[in-house]
Amino acid sequence: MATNAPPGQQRALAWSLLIAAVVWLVPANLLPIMSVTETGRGKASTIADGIWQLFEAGMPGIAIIVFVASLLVPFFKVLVLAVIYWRVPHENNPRISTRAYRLVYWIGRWSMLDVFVVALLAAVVEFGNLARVEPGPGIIAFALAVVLTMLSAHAFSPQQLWTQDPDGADHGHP
Amino acid sequence: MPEHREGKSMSADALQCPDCGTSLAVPSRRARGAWRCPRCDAQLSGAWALRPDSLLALTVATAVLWLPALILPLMRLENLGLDREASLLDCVLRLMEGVYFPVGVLLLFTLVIMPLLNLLSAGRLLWAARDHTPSTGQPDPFWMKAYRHSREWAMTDIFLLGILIAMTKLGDMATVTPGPGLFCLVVAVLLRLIVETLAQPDQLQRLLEARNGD
Repeated sequence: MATNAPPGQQRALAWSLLIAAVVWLVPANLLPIMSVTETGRGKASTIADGIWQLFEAGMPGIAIIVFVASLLVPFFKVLVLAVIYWRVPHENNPRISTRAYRLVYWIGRWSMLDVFVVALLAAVVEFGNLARVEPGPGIIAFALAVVLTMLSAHAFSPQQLWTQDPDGADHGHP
Repeated sequence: MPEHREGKSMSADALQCPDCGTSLAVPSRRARGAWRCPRCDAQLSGAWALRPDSLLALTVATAVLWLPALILPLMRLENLGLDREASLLDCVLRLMEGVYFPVGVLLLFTLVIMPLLNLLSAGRLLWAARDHTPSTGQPDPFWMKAYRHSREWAMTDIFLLGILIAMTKLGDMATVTPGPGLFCLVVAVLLRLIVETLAQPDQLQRLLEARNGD
């Protein structure tokens, strides 16, 4: 990605992708991600509705997994990345920031879970007028938000966190 | 991980940490345990020795299971005398129709294209890292890049959890039976996880350089 770009430009790209992700997170959580039609009556549900339905159906374990993957992780990741980018110019604890970066880098992909669940339900529940599941517009926004945060983390390189050190003189390219 | 993570090796026994740029001496091959950068704690090699022969065998096994995992039905749904099956490819195609085309393309990318690229690149790199392969110089850098990216963007493991959730959700509305595609997918994902854990890109890169260097 922005490997050879100057650090400032790299960070600007990371910031703009992150802001775009935040913008898409709003419709992702407000619009329905799918609608279930049973015997003619349709019911649209957002991400939060889906989690609540799982709780009510007596499946708290699964509800918590979905809650973590589709609500907690996207917001947590955006927040952590913003703090890391913000701290770069005057970073005083690069070890912690690098660890946080690595953590959010690898958990971010798990947010795709909801997109996969919707795709599966839409593909398998197709009984004409009796019962069917249609994807909703929220799913596009949600998928975009997840991909944009992943790309934002890509655009940033943790080497930037280490260049401020007093012994940073020998960290150039060989 | 993106390509800027590539550890730049400076000579046979020293390299730069890909995360913080510190120059490090490579420990002897017999050293045990995972090797981490002392400054930023980046993992530079796994706890196990990289054995290209066995990992290549696992990659071939994954490749054999991959096509049935893609086209055989993952689950079968029975409701009021009607039944329906869906495979992984059906899920992708279902979203590719209509306005949800972009999401369909994303599914195609993360569930079909990237896992395929992961298989191909892992196979190519492990083949080049084998002791018995006649040395023909380093494989094209494209393969290492593809391997690094596909580790992150191939999401069949997440899809598996998605299947579990979809099946529980459908449980109270209809009878759900797992299909043969699900079995192939579970085994393929497990094998891929073993290969990916054991074949760390940085470690593989160093092995290739050591084998084909000079």
